[in-house]
Amino acid sequence: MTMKAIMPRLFLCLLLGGAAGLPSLAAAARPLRVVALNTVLAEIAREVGGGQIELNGLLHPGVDPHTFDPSAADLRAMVDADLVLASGLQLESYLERLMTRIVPAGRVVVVGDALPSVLTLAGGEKDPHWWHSIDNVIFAIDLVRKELARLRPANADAFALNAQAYTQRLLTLKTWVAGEMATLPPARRHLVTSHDAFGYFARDHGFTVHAIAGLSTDGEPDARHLARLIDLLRREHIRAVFAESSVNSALVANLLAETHVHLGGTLYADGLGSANSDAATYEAMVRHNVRTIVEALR
Amino acid sequence: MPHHILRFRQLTVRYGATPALSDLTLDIPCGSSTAILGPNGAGKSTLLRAILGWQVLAAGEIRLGDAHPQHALPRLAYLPQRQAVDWDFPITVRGVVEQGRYAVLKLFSRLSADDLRHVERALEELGLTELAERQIRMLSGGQQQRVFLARALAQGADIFLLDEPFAGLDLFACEELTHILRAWEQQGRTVLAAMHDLELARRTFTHGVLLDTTLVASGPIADVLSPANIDRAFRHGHCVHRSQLIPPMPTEGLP
Amino acid sequence: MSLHDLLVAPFDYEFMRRGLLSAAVLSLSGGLLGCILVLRRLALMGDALSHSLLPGIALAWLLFGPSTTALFVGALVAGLLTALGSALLSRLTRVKEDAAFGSLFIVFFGAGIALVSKLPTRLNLTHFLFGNVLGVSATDVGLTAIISGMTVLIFVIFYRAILLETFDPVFHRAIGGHGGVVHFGFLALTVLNLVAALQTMGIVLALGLFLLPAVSAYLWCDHFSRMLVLSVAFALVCAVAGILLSYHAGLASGAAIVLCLGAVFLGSALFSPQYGLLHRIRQFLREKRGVLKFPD
Repeated sequence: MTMKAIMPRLFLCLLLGGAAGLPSLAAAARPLRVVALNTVLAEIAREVGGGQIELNGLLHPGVDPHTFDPSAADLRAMVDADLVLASGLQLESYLERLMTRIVPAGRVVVVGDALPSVLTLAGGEKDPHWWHSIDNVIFAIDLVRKELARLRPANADAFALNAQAYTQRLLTLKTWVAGEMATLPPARRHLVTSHDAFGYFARDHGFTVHAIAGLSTDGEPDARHLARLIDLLRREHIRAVFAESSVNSALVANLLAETHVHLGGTLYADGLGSANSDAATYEAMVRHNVRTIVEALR
Repeated sequence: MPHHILRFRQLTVRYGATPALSDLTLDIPCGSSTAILGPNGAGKSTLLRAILGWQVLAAGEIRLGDAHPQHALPRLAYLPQRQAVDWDFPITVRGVVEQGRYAVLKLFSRLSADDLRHVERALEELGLTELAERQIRMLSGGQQQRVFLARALAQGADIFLLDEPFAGLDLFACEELTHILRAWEQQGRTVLAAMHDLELARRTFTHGVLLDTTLVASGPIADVLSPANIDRAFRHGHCVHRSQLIPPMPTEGLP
Repeated sequence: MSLHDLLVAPFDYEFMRRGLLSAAVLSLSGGLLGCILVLRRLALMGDALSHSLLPGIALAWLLFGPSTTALFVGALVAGLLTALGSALLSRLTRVKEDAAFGSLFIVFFGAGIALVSKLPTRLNLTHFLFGNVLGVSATDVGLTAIISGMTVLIFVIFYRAILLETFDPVFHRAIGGHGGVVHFGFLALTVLNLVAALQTMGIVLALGLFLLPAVSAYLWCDHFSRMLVLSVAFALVCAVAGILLSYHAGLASGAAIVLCLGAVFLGSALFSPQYGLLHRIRQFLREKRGVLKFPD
């Protein structure tokens, strides 16, 4: 072929090749869309992903994750996302519907399914409040980092650095918590709350949890259980009971009235607090909860 | 009994643009039994409701003595066309008849011995004493009719407004009702009954009022139900009316 | 277990005493109002009403935050608008009361859902509307006592007007009664009591108390006054039995009371000497046998 014939064809190929390359260039430039179904997961994603991700935390602070039901706008966000982070373990009642019918497979990462040691209760139920153990959160950080790196290999190093820094801060936190716990004698380690959210915390620090309702805020308490709880409070001379930020505390109020136990404070059981509260980040939440518990029970 | 007369003067009632009653002027003597007759839409039910004060008058007035009859409600007893009553309601015959006394009881008073006497007398007069403790569904159509009549009696009413009292009654119950109404007239009670059966009216009532939104005729029933009057009132067609001209059936021997 | 352990010991706990007291107090008004609901064919009103409260709570939350008083008032306003609005509609248009109520409540419910989705925090408001009989506070008991006591008083004073308006509204009007006042008054009282019941005892128990004892009593009585009394009696007995059952068997208390009420209802439907199923069957068989006696 002559030069004259090749040139236009070469030019066309370059043009087409360039055009084909453009979307991937654009893709590399646009931030990863990440949706988090939990305030703790949202923070993890934000810390690890940094500026490379566009985060959409569907669950706002103060909203009860046990009964949250996504709206049409929420579902749209999940379909458009590159990655959806969920807790699993029956915390999100809509998860199965989501994974089988709405979001393409592989885009949802269920942290609960990957955790090494999930707490299982007497009835076979799994405790979904995994974030109350700092080890679990550190595990989740790594999981999220791996996922982000898989989707954006170009930024894998940045993610690794962020994850490392965050994990370090949490390890420092863990040491602090251990120190605080040491000041509380084992006989005092009874945690009475509205619903059974602190199983992992209890396991880590040798507490016994006595909850008014069961694992979910939807559970209905019965009179016998309540009576036994009152007997326990009196028998063990437990100093304080704790209310929760996102649950109606009428039953806790009744416990207080009947046993002259103190209200130790409000704990953040089902996620982080709002931006102007003292539990706006995971670390702040842990510090708040631990301080509240230790001071009330000492 | 007060010798007052129910007076209607230029009475006009409209439903929207349609006149139900036009310029009606009429006197009804107390102590009489009067059948209010006419074709469908003639204003028979409307007339009764107007006496109770349940119709807005476009013109004219109604007087019982020197006031509208609605100011003397305890004296009026109204039996509507269809009893929209729940027959499964937990109430006995006696319970319904006792309600008649509520019309005259004050807010905090209980049923006195006198009230109970009124109730017993009403039950007796209508032959309901043996049925007094029955729940109202366990009654025949005629018996149910009599329960509401007894309630009207117990109320101490002296003016009875009956809207189609013979509707839905079998032959035997019709004869019973005729007998009761005739007895009431003998006792001097005032009865106004809106009805469509001219033959029954002729047999049961002494006076008649023939309406066709306006007054066609009033007076003794035989005069009111003359062929000419019937033709005038039922000029829009009444397929059976000519047969009403056969002489009334003999009444001796019937209960 | 001694009789004392069975019946008295559970009430050593204050929450048990308070729960029983609030259930007993609302048994009074629930038993009475339930009778009217049953006789006027408004039995499903309670359930529908509980849905119609949502926009009221959402607005109250929006304006005043998690204040129980505000939520109560908001719920009350929404409920009153629904009930009275449908009564008005049925009196002024061709739409009957059940259709009017059904339509209004669903519109209110939809409005409520729309409002909730616009709230800054998507909290589960039903937690803050529907209470639990074990979580009753002293003020709750006081409030429900006042509302219920007022209801009982009104029934006693206006018994005859209530009876007449329920049984024969035409006659009531003909003797000079104010049927509209009675009807609207009844609806307002029902909404007030239902909202109080929902907030102190939760939805299952509130709806159960306002319906089941009345239906059970209906199967036994041929006198309106006796039906009212029996309805209240059934409600009280089942409240006590239910709370004790929940204590000894470890069941949710509201549900336990409703189960007792349900047992009474079933028993009434089967065994009532006049109106029970067994009586009907026996009657039917007797008639059949009677026919067979004359084989011609």
